[in-house]
Amino acid sequence: MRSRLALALVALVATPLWAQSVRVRSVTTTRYAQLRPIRYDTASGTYRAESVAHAAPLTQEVELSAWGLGVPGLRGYALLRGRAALGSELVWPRSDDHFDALYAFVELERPRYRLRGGRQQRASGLGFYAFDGLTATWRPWPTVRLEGFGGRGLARGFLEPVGSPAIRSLDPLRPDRGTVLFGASLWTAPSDVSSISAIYQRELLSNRSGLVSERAAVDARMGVGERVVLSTSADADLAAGEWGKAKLGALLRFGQRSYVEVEAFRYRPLLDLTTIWGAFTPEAHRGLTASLRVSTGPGLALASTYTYRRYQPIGGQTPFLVEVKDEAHLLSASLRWLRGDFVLDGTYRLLLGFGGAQSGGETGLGYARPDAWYLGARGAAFQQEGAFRVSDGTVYGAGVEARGPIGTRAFLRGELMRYLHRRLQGQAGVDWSQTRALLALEVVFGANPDRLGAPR
Amino acid sequence: MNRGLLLAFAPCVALAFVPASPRVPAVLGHATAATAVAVDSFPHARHGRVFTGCGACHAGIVSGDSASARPTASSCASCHDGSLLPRVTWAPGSPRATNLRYDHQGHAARVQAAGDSALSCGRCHATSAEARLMDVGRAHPERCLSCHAHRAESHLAQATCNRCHVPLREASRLIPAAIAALPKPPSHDSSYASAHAADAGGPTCQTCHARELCASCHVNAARLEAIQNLPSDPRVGLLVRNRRVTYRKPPFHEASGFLRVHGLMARADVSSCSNCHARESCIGCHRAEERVQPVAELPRRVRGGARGVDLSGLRPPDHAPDHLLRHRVPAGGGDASCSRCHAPAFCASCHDAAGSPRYHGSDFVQRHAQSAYTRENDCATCHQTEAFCRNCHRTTGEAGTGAPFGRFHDAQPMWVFGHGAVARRGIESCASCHAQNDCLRCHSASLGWRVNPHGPGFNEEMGDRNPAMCRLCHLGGAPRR
Repeated sequence: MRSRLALALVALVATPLWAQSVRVRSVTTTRYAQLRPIRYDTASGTYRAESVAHAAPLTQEVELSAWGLGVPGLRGYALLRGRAALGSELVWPRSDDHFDALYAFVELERPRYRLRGGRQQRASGLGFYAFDGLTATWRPWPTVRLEGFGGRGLARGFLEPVGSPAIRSLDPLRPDRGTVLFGASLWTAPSDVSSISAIYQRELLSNRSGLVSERAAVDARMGVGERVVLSTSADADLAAGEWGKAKLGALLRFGQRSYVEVEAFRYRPLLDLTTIWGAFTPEAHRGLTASLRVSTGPGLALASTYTYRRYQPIGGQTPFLVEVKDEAHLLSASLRWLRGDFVLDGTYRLLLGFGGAQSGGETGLGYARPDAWYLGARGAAFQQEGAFRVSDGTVYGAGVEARGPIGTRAFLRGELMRYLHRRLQGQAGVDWSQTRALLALEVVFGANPDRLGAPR
Repeated sequence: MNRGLLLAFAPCVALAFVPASPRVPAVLGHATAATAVAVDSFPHARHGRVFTGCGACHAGIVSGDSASARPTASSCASCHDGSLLPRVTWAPGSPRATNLRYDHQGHAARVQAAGDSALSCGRCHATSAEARLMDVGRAHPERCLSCHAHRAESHLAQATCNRCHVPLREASRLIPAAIAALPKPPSHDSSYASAHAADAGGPTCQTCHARELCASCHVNAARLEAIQNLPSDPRVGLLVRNRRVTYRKPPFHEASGFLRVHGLMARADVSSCSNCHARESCIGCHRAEERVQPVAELPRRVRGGARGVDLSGLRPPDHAPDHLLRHRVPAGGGDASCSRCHAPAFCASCHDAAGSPRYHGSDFVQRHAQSAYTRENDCATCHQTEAFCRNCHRTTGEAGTGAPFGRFHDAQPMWVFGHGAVARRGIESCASCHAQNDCLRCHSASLGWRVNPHGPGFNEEMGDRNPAMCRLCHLGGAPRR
């Protein structure tokens, strides 16, 4: 409700000034997904498959950017999302939440500083955090930026205050009051391929009765010569006194678009102090990733990645756990081949070890017409076993996809996939066969319609 | 040429541009230099013994009587009557469309006044110095130079053209094809595109060029005096319509660090940039739209005008292939770095989940369990556990009710007795199905079975930072250390 009021206020303020230029982008996305719910049968002690049910969520996004409001550098920006379910039998996640303001802010951009007030989301080494408040950016030099930010905190991935009824209806043990989030960040770029960024962020319950989180992250990369890039990142949960995620990698480029990269990493989740999850003492796992990408010019690109993960060993032996592995291996390979107007791509992934086993891939052949239309066919198959659910089997998929511009202001995208689930021999269980479809229409109104399809 | 104009054209020294299409006519600046060779439609040489002079057929050329400037069909029929000689079909052509600043009558009068009695028609029209009387053709421009002083070595050398030629606009009888076929001076080689600024604006340019040609390359054509001084000509407009220009990158754009300093250069003098760059060229990267002053000062791309340099495929040097999959470190700078080029909606298209299922692929829902458990990605960055994961898992039946003897986990009925260590490996996956209350049935120190969930290395100081968390299990507060 408050976000709507804030939006109305922004509109009210902006209306008398009226922007010289306004761009509105509308993206309407409709999806169709079939799922087969399962239900635990207490009589037989097994899970029983229910009839296939479908969901057809509709998402309507409107992006509004208005500038030329009478003050140089002033603009209003909003990204609004509406959701609905088109005759769904299943409740698609959040389709009952009909409106969200992902962004709604007024921004003043000047050569040396920027002020942004309203609903915003910050991307940083800590991930994505949303808040309603103010961000001030100071750029004393082109390669140095300092930011301070603060405001009312919003639940991650939800865009509602932490203490809102919407959150508490999902988990009544969540705090019944909101949070205040604030922090500061520094970014500097000593060279084109070198940069360092650091962020500190603290979130408190609005009545100061407790800390929600206190986190910091550092990201850095450094070019060594023209071919080597070293990168590292780390975040820390200061409230829990634990390191979180960390990475250290080296990338060696060769040729125009080829590289080999090795990266060591560590993963431990950063959890809020408003839940009990952190009290369960999550353990970190560590790993190593090696990637190779070879591209012979613009037409052919081959890539392969291997990731090894090592978990903390299960300390106490118990007869109740069967074969819990301490390692996981992920191998993936991909191909992309452009020949004339045709595009062939394929991906294969093999996951073994802790978390189950999965082998699968997909391939597609597309015709990219000179008028920017793309027409393609896709095929997919994957097999998984030993997962934490009864899902042994192989799934085959086939479908078509198309996308392309309609005039200079509209872009249409559609895809349809049919998946067929075949049980492994001798296995019996739930049939996961399903159909999935997507249809999306993007339309740009106002200034700069030629930006359709450009990186946003 | 004023200083402003010079400044405006100065970048052209480096910002050379050449048309990409081979169909672009020669007059647009890149055909091979060629001198027009006159083609005689009448076989004068074959009639060399019939006529003793030119006046029999072309008396009007010198007298100014257009009716007698060319012979008529009846003139031919006096011989070609069908008996003596076969009949011929002949129609006098219309005067040649030309941009020459020349008329025979006035020229003849001036020659006579000067006392040059030796000047005959053949002086200009003879095919060679040794040619016989009727061995003639159209006048070759070099013949003019045999009498008239010309400060260059040849006809098309860079010199003042308007001495002999009228501006293109006044040569109204030239059709577009003839304009396209106008010869190109040797000076207009591939390097001239980057050096023509010094010459631009002079009357010489008007001989072959019109404003529309310049405007097909120069985004800022409307702001350049030299271009605006050129007359407009719809015939040239026709020739350059849909012209696609490949803008050649100037050498200083190749210099190391140019990308970093180009903003400063643009602030210093954006007019130089606007020769080739439209506002749309910049906003492919600079998402701050027209609020960035140098960008705002650039001219917009207009329908039918120059498109300007297309930088839509340009990526910063740190955006290696697969950057989208490995942008965590550069994105660590957040808005400070990314928002210079990307709008918030760009990030939201993946990170806010609902809008774009392309990030995961359409079958991800079936195979996401393993990816989530191994934490290939930090799911919580985009998905709210309660609202997204648990909601769906409950809808489809995957999320249990928290019954201690559920058989979901690998169909192991006694799973609950050994789940602790596994849960500590992936507590986020637990929370994707189980609410806190599920765990408190056993782990609560006050209302549950008092099973201690704290693993090795549990940090008791967390309780000091948020006592309410402890009270979820320890109703009376955390035990005193």
